[in-house]
Amino acid sequence: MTQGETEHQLGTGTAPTRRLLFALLGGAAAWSLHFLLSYAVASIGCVYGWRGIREILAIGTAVLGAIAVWSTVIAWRDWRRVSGGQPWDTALGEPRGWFAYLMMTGALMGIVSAFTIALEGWGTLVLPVCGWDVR
Amino acid sequence: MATTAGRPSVSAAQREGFEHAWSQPTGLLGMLQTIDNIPIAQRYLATSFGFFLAGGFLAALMRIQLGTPDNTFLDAETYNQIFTMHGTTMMFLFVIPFIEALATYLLPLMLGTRDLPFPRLTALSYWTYLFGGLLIYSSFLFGLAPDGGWFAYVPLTNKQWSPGLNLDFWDIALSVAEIAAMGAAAEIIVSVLRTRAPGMSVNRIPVFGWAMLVTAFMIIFGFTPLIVGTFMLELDRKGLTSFFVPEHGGDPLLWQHLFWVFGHPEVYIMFLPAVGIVTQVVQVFSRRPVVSYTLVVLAIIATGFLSFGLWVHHMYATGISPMALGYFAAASTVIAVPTGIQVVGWVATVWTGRPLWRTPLLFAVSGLVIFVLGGITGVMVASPPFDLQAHDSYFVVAHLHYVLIGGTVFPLFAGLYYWLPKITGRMLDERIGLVSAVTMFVGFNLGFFPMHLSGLLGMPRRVYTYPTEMGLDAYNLLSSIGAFIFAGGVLLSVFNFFRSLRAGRPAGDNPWDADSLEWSTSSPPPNAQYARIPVVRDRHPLWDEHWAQERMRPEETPARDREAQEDVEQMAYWPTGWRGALVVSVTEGRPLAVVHMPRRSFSPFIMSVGFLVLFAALIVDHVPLMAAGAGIIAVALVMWFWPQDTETAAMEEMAGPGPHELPLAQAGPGSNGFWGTCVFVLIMATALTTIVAGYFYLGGNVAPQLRGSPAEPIERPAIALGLLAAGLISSVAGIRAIGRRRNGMLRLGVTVTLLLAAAHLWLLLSTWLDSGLAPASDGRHSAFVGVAGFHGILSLILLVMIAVATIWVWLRPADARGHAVAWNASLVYGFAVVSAVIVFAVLYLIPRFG
Repeated sequence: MTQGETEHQLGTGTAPTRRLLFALLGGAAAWSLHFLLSYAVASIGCVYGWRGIREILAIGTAVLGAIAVWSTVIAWRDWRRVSGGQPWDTALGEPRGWFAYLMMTGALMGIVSAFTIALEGWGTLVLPVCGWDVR
Repeated sequence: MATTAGRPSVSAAQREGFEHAWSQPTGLLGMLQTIDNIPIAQRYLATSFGFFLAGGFLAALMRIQLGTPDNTFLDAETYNQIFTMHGTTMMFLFVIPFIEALATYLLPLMLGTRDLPFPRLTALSYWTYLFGGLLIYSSFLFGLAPDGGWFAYVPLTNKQWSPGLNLDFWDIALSVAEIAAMGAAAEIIVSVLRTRAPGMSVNRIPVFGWAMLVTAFMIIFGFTPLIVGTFMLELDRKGLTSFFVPEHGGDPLLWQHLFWVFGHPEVYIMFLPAVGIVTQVVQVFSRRPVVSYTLVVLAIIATGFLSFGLWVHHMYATGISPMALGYFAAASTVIAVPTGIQVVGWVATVWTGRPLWRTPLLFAVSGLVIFVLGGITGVMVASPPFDLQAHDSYFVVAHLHYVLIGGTVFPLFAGLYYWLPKITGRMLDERIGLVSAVTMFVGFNLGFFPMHLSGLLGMPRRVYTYPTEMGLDAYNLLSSIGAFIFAGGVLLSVFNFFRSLRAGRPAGDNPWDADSLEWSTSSPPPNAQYARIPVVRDRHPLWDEHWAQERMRPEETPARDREAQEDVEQMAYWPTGWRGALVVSVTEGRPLAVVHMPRRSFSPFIMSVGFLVLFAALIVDHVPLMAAGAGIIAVALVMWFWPQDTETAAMEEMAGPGPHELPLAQAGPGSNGFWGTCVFVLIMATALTTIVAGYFYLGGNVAPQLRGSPAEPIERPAIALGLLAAGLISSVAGIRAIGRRRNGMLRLGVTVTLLLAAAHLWLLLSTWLDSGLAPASDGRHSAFVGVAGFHGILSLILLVMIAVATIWVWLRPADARGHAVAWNASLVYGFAVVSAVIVFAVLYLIPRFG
């Protein structure tokens, strides 16, 4: 955040910086965490013989998936608030287009991220955790 | 709309003063001194294109060898060197530098500013890249060219199996070139975020700007693990550590992780700038804005994120657990979604526009067709069962060339044909261009499509010959013929470029009737680029008459645009005694401050020479030469930070009365230097994450019986951590004293911080030196040394920064330049404390209590 960017107020087409960042990047951050943590838990857990790996992964998927959805909802609400029902192109134009644009991008990023978390989480339920049982 | 006209008149003396301030130094010495983005970018472009031709020549040698079975044109060792250098050249010395060169040239023009934010870093990046490239190519002179593949898999590249200096050239010379890439990435990030024309809010940034921003972040996150990995590999090769030596508890697969966590995003690092180029070309030659700018930018950002979740799909055959395979297979498949969005956006733009089939568009569309085919085989190899069949076959060679040449080389040629008229002021010949594009397209498909078939029929990659009994003679001969036709197309374009310099018709300012700001300047552009800084009021500033009215109701003309207009009025042909540029807010593009830009300097060139000497000495283990290299770097650093006369002039002018209303941003969060330091912290945080992940990988994944830390005493490290944490208080006190103009407190705060940081480092070093570590023979100790060594290097850098700040505030406590160093050091200090906590937890707490 830089000088002059701390004055965002709800209702005037902007949002506080933390809310803006969460709406824009919350979904993608949740996916990144989900991906890296799931891979780490699956790999390290198998080496050390942890119990309940599948449950840990399922809980992680649910929590981080929920965060991605939450971020999407926040972004979508702010998009709706600032766009005021205008057509897509008009709302993304002027005068407050930059904020509408970031919120629309955040909402779409959130959807892609939630979808990817769900897709990767699906493997948690159906695949063997540490190896194929070939006996 | 970009407004530049209708301003108060400017006196001839003011014009002259402004143009003098931005004039380039001349002569040979001037050439070494210049730090302006335009001449540096021109050299960057020429050098990287030269490496492209060199890499292409190596490919031609390979195709001669493989054109017929049992060929003896090249022996196995020479072939290994050539295929290694072909991949290394194309990946590290051509594509990335070429893209960065294009960005170095175009971004200031496109964003409406006068130069990149760190001109000396621009020059340093170029010289370092040049010397790194020459160093690695010099290995041919000694018959020691790298021969372990561009991926340098261990244990093949360990000292035991590659005892010569070949891999040392690869490791060390490449590190020099990687430093250049990181420097350019820092430039691009700060440039796109901070140095745009007023009014260019985030929703008005050209797609090329967005693509370069995301790419630059990816370079930071991707190249850092590679630098860490090559550093570890070189330490292993010097016999100092055992990170990748399995008999000592190391693990060769750790190298593959470190390499591919860079290597796969690298594909998108090369592709995303091409997305920016193709988008610019497609919309200009389709005579309409790209369909759904928002979705295209979204796709760029999403690709940037997802690309870091794919690296293991290069390692499906290494024994990954099924669940982990599932994660990477899912991410590898999902990334087709944003890529598909981009492709649909371009197709829809051409479909709904009025396409003008000129050479840039033909190259762009040809590349699109090829890339889509490569994308389809990409989805195929994203599936582990299929990949296990096609792994290490020519099918993968075909796939990667379809992706890289279609997704990068064709778009780069599109970009060259599109922007060269701006760069040289001359148009290229249209007929030669069209023939070149068609020849390259036909040659490429003839050359690489048969590789899908030969690969599926069993042709392994990375082999120097094959027996005729395999029945692959015809496929390979076709591939070789196609490769030479492709090369002919490339040479036609090279001829066209040189011909245009002599015989091309003058381009004029905007020969394509394009939309973005770079076309508002003369061709070639003046060195200052924008004597009058434009105010942007639309996403397509030069098309505003066509498009803006459809979007913007007149009564909604933003007040901020009018305010910005008033700000830039004052900066027309100003300042005159020094170089000044504007910084704007990240999201809205609102003018915030004026920054001083350095004018000329030998220091980047000298520092690059120092790097060259140091790294060349590292290859041959020549200690006096290493000391000489380090000495040259130290001298260059002093020159770099030595106060400049123009900076003093800027501070005096901005402190007195004048037409300006904006402040001079020299220190603190408003300055570019602070933002550059933020990027440095990001790089160090990525390095720390990589090293800690490597520590757990070695400690956990390979040798679970080796859980304990080799360093048992915890008291001294705990005290060291406490000292560093205490320094945070004095550091903050010093920074707060700057704002309150309390020089005594500033001096005290900075000095106490220096003493505490020094005590911290001394205590840690003495602990580690006493702990009996044996990294050369124990992978676990190597992992410990990796984490500890990182923190030690970070602490040393911090110490130097605080020492410089301390000297400055004691000599000239009111000087803003000293304040800038203090601010930047405080930022690094904060990160060092975080690093210390993590390192303490990883090395001492987790082994004890985990």
